[in-house]
Amino acid sequence: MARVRDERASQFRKGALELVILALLDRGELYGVEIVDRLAERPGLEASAGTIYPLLSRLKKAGVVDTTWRESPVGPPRKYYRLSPAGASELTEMTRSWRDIAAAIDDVLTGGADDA
Amino acid sequence: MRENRTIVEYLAAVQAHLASLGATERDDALAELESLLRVEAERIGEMAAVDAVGDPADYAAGILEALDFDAAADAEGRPVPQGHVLGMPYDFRGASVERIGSRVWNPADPRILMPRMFGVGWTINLGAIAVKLGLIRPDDVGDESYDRIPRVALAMVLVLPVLLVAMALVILLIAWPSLPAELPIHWGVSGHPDDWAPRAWVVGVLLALAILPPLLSYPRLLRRGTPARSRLLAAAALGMAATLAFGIAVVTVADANGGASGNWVLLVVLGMFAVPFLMLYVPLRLGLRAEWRAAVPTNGEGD
Repeated sequence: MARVRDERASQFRKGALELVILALLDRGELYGVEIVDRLAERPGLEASAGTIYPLLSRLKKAGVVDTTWRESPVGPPRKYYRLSPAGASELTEMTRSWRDIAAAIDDVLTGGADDA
Repeated sequence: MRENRTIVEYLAAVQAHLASLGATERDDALAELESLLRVEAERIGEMAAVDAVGDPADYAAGILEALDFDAAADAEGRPVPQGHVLGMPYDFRGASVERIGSRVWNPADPRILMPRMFGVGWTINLGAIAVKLGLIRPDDVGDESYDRIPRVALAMVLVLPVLLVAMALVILLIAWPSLPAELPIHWGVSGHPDDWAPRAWVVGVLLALAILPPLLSYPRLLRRGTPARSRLLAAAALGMAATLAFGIAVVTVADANGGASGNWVLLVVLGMFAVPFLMLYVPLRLGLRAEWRAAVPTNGEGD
């Protein structure tokens, strides 16, 4: 039973991960390891590097994020990610759909939909 | 909606909407639909079965969408096999550069075993190995790294498979008089041959297998405007095949002269991965360094 619940949670998370990454980048540019770490700080949102890097690569291909190399105090330069203008409007859109869905689900869960 | 079509008419209607598909994918989709319709027709009658599937245009759109989904997942670097047989993934579509890129060199994906590009089984993700070895980070290599590979390095990588094939040819020609009438064509796990064939046949097949892939690929690879990424990935795939051909030539000749052992075979297998790995890693490392130098002028590589 616990395993079924974990799988369900992971399905939810996968869909939300893109939105969360865009929201993090909206507050300022981050490099790959930082994104992984920021997500790890939030229980329920942690995702492996193996999930995040392919997603970042897809976001870059889609033109939603831009990248810049910046010097690092240790080791080789780091690749920083930031929102592109297209990414900013994508974030607005995704935030609105997320709120709509969350509100609708909440409504159903609390039994409000039966009155409609 | 009720137009009383026969199965044949319905299939023709769907086919008309699939004009943009490749012949193989279209035929597969239609064959699948036909068998589905035939089974349903047995149960509920031909007209009802056809009617139940709905508008041919909608059905065709569904097929296109499903295939597009696979293509999109492929392009974003999450290789999807076409299906599974005996628990192993299979893919019988031809090897495209996108598919080589997403399977053989995909540092962002930590899986080392990827669904194989062509045939049944797995292939090794050399990009994941480079990351595991700490040689690069998962997101180091981007499109720009390929474009900044020094021309000389790219030229050398493109020449290497040809060189290996030429060396295999020379080795076999020189050793021809010393080869026995029958040559081993299969080796057991212990590294000892367990099946033989006439030498002209063995050498002929080996040379055809060595020469055909480059012969078919280079005209396209060398065409003006072919992206550096396509050239590098294709060259690495050819490098793997050329290493195998070169290795088999060496083992065959050494074996005929009494010098081959299990270690030779192991060496060939190792080379089949080491050679493409270096063909990808070294040029990309140089491209990456050029990218860093351009972006962070004060600091070169920094490590």
